[in-house]
Amino acid sequence: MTLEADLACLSGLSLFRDLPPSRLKLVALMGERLRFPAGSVIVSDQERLQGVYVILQGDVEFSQQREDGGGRRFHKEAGSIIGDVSLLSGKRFLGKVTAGTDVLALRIPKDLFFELLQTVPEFSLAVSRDLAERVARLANALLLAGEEA
Amino acid sequence: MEPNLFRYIWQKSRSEQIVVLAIILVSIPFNWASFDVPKRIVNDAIQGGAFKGGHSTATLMDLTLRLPSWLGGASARVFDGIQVGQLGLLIGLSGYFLVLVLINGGFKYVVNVRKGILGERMLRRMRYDLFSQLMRFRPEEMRAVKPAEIASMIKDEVEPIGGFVGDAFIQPVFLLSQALTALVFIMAQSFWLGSIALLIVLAQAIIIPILRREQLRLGRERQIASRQLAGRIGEIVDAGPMIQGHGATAYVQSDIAARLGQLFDIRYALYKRKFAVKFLNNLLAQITPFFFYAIGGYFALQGRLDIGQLVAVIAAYRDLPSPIKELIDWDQQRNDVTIKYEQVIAQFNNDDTLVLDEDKAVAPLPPDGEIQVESLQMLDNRGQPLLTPLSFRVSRPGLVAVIGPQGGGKDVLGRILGRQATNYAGRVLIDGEPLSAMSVERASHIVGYAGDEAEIIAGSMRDNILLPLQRHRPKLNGEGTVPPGEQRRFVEALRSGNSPFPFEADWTDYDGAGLDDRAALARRVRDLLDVLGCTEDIYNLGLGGKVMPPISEEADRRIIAARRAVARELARTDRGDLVEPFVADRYNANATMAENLIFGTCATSRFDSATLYFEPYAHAILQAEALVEPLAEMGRRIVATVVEIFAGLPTGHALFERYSFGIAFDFERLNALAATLAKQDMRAPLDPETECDLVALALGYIEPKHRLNLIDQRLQQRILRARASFRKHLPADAVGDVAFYDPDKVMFGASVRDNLLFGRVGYGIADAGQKVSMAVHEALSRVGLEGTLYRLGLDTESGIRGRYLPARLRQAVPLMQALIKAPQIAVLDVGAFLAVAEDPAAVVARLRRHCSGMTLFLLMGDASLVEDVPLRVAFHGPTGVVEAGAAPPAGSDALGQTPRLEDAQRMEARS
Repeated sequence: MTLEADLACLSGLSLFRDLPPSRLKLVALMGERLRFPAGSVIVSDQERLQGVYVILQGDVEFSQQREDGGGRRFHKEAGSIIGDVSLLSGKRFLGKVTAGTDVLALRIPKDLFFELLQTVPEFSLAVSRDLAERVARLANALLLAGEEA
Repeated sequence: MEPNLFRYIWQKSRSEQIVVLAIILVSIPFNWASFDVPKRIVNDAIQGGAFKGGHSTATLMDLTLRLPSWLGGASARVFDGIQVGQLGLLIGLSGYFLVLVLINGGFKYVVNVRKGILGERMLRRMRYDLFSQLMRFRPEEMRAVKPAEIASMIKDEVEPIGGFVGDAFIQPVFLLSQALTALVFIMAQSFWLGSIALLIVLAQAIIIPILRREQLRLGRERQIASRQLAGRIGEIVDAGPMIQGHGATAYVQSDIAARLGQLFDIRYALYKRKFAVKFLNNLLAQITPFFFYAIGGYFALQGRLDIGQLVAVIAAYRDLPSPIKELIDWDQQRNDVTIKYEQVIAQFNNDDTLVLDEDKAVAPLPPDGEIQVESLQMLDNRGQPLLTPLSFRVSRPGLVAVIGPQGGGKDVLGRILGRQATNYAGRVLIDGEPLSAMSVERASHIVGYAGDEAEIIAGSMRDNILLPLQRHRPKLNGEGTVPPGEQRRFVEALRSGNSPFPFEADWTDYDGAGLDDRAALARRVRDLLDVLGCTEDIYNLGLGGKVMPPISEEADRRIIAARRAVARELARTDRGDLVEPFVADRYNANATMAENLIFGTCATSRFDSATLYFEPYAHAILQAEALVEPLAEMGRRIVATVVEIFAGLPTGHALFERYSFGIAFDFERLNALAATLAKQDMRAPLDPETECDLVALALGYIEPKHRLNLIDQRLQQRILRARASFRKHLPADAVGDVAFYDPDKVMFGASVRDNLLFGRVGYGIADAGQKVSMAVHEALSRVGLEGTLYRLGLDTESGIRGRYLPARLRQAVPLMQALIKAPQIAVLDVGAFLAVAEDPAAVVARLRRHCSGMTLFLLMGDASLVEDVPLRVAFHGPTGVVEAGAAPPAGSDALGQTPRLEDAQRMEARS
């Protein structure tokens, strides 16, 4: 897979829609492209992450087992970023991420991720926007759950 | 140490001094005789005095032993002598004179050698005593001295003192004896001449020392200025990189220049005075012969003095000025050295020293007991509190968590408990015994302290870790024969008051640490590494060590066997894609183009990719395969890409590291290259410098890492062809520069890891480094080489202040040092270590388990790791608050659930 194909993938993601091409190239080159076959574990439960994963192609499943037997699971599609919350807060990853289909991911190691955040303003803006969208969705879901209860 | 120099010297070297004095006494009659003989030669032999009165022969060498009259006055004739004519008498007496000269020379030699050895022994003893005194300083004082000043004192300043020792008593006696002999002889010949000589001598003896007083004062100044210079240089070197970094080197240089100037002025004044005094001295000495010739000649003319006597007097006088001069010099030296000695001793004589050793073996503490801290407080030198009064009790064995920020009361408490600070008020009682009253030996057995600063001395990691156990004096009466060199070393050490225990022997205190033998010690080291989670680091250290020639055949075989084992292991776990091995006729996609071209390890910098373009042989190869153009083109594309993606970003960061092409190409250089290329006229050929840079860039390219899609099959083929011809036509003089990759040969200059992998780790595989390490580990343990790797790691040189060690190991060393001796009280500052540990909570848990039989004081900054410890001392600044009982549960737990009502009520009840 060439760099151009990766760039095409990245530019198609809503996460990086505002990144200029040179910065896209930078992100693409800093990361490691990894392939995960369907069903394989990308991030395990309670793991201390050493990098973030940007899902370029495929679906992943987020699952969380609890002691009382119940669990939650939900899907995430291509274009999502996994692990940024864990890295930024310093806490362990809650839950497990498995590949639903064959997944192509870009893994950005921890130190490079932080440096990108600090030195490339467009990148940190993109990550912040993504986090904001997720918080908004979460708040929405909680309100809905509160109404129903 | 004894403050009076002469008393010190006499005390320590009495017997040797007396022996030398006795030798001198014995030599005096011979000295006298050598003055007497010239007189006899001239008078009796040459002038024929012995043949007056018609004798045709004279007796030579007649020997009569006579007792002095107060013992009876008996005499016994031993030898009648031989009868000789005038010529015979002359020759005989001259021969006698020669023999006397030889004997006197022999005496001088013996005396000088003995004096020299005496001085050297004394110097050795003095240096050792000073050093031992230094080891008794309190920790605060030891920190207050500048290492360079102490080194200068022990090494340089006592040197003249040692040189003086031999002369301290002997020289004046010797010289006085010589001078007096000559003087009395002259007196005996003629009273008047003798008194003139005496007068001049007295004048010298009185005037010169007065003039030299100024020299002494200057000498004292010089000593102090010299010592301060050494101290300042030491300080500057210590902070060198910081000074350089801030650009303050010129400022610092001018400080040194000022000090050197000051020293120069002192020495200049010293020299002037010294030579002025010398001149005066010589003048006085040279005047006397004038009197002798004038007055003595007058007497001779008058008949009151015969020629022989005059000649003898003048000959004897030749021997007078030099002893006098040397006596005066001796006096000068005496003053000088006394001052030096006093200056040095003043620095080392401390009233408040520690007791080093126990008289008997150290008795361990009973298994239970109590540690009481009573009103412990400490002020700094301005009276500000470093630790406000603190009291608490801990039962032994037990656990105390001391929490606080770095630099606050937590560090102070740790230092007090670890006996690194002794300047405090209040008491620490261990089973009722004050900690401050313990001897150093006892305290070091019972308390193991690891502070926040890792002080690592040069030596391997193993040396550093095992240092605390080097405290058992080796047995001296060895069984069997002792090698002769050893015997001599031992005797000599005792004569100079030095420690006779050999340094190379095994000092390890197995009993005191509860170990049976070396194997048990190795196991304990391993256990401690596991507790701290550093075992992998040791393996990595071992793997990272370079393989340098020469190595034994055994090691060579082991490495190749391990290499094969690793390849097998990688194949076995189907992880062949982790490492791409070096195969002779395949292009290694995970290695740089340069590596693919040369396909060997470079011992020298001849074939460095930065200058490969200019290397004639390499250039020829590249030309032959028409590689220069494509490589330059690649370089161009690389420059364009890098400049594009890093445009506008601040320079010097990890992102650039990730995409680097070698240390020669920093961001500025690439920008400059881009600018040059932009200005380049496409039709004109590139200038060689630029082309060299572009080729060098291309040579550092790795497709999976840099991903610019610049290497295709054809290029690979050409590189392979170039590789073959590079190897085939390698010139004879380059054979030492390159060692080609060979699966059955060890790669010298490469690390153990590279030797084992014999390939390059693939890019683009998650956690490849870790997976490879695991595979290597697994492979080595299968072949039984794990132990070797572990030993290699432990034997790695630490470097000054541990700079060759990774951060985690550097922080682990003090912890291991504290725990390896199995102390009964452990005071461990784990804050710095936990900051670089992978799983701090697990480390703390393992430490607690390991130290469950001891009283453990855990010092750290993160309170969350020790929430369940019943006794906690929390510091805010210098004030410590003792919290007993379990901590209240946190206000809200990690999952965002609000606190339950029952918890809130429980918190209320407790406060």
